[in-house]
Amino acid sequence: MPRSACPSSPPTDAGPPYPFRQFIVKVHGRCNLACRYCYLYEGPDTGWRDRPAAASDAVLALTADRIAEHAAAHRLPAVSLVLHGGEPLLAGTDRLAAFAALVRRRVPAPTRVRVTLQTNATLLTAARVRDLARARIAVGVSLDGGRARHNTARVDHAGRPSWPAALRGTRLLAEHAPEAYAGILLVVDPEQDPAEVYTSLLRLRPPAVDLLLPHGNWSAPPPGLRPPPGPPARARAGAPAPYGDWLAAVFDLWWEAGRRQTRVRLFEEAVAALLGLPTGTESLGLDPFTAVVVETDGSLEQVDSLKSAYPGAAATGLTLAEHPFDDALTHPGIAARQSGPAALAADCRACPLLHACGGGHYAHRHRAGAGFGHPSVYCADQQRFLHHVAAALARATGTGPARDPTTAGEGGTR
Amino acid sequence: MSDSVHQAPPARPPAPEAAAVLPDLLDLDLESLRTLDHPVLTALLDDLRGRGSAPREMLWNFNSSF
Repeated sequence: MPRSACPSSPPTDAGPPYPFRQFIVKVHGRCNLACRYCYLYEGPDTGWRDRPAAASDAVLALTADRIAEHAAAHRLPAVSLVLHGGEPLLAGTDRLAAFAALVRRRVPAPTRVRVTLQTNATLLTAARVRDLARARIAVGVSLDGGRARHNTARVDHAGRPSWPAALRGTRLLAEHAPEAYAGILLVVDPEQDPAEVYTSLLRLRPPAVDLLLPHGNWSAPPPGLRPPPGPPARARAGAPAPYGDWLAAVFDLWWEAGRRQTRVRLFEEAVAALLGLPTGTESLGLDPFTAVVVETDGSLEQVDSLKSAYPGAAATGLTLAEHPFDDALTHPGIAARQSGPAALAADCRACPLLHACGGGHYAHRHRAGAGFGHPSVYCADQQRFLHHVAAALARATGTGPARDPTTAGEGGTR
Repeated sequence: MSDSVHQAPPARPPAPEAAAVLPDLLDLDLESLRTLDHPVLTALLDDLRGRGSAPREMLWNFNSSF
């Protein structure tokens, strides 16, 4: 089947708005950790302080009803229910299991519900792992590597390392319920050795890993990036790309391992994007973003990553008590993330990497007072990484140039 | 991860000023790639082959969870 150069439109595309298919529910709005780089609790948006610490029974029941209403209205074959926070395990596994079961009972019969939970793993015990697995809740873990020194920023409220408890919890998950072990999400730190980080993660036996760039933007750059002065613009050839270099190094380890040691979502989605296929990541591609957040008080919001830009960036002004999910689909911020190239900067629309990069993560495009219509603050890194993957893919398939054109001086074919 | 100013990473050799040419991967016939001698790509393509024609019903794109 031929693939277009702008393949973001689904085969049955009737245009936006696309219904929500992923529901992120803040079952608990606090965290037992105080990670130093946390874009939520250490970021500019302090709205969490004014919300209930936990979602009430009434809010969870209403959420289940609204999800079912949305699934029925749009005849959704499947939805993703993400139990999130804060630290969702603070809600207790009984409550989490009950909520997951409630949503499964409420949705219309053909709709499948995939339930996942994202945790820092410090509160996992053997009993809790079994409870979650029995409830068919897949468990993802947030760690920044497989060694203590990779996780020094992940501390509790007294500044103590969370690593011992997180390691214990992750091992319990891998040992007692591997079928419920979804994988590890890692925030990239280019000061850490990429090979050491990657190989240490593999020792935790994750079925999947994802590598996330720390949230930042043109006005609050991520660590290690110094955007040039002037308006945001596409990065010039040869611009420093420390995160792109780091990702390329890990990619090579993964790609040349001789077997798929684990799934690395960013890498697999990069290959999908370069092949013109639909993508399942916020980091790449032009596919419409179809996730929405329910806060502990029943408010509807865009995803928390936007809060790294400015206070209130994720707000919609809507609540489930008064609004179905459909009402959020016409919110300008949500609509922008479903409009493909139309919401992107002119530089991005003219870029040869448009269909693969997609402008990168939405939150990384922000500039204070000037919105999100800019290239990513990680533009150089996106270019570096995608050219590297494209070159590897071309070599493996016998297509096009054999050399990664962004690594002048390394030269030669593999 | 510290918020302090970081040392700049070691300088990489600058890329050629001419725009890097992206290989043409959009017209690859995924079916013809079944016999590749690349275990990682082969395994990945087995997963990806259905994406082009199947609805996006199981493709979700929120990054902060699996």
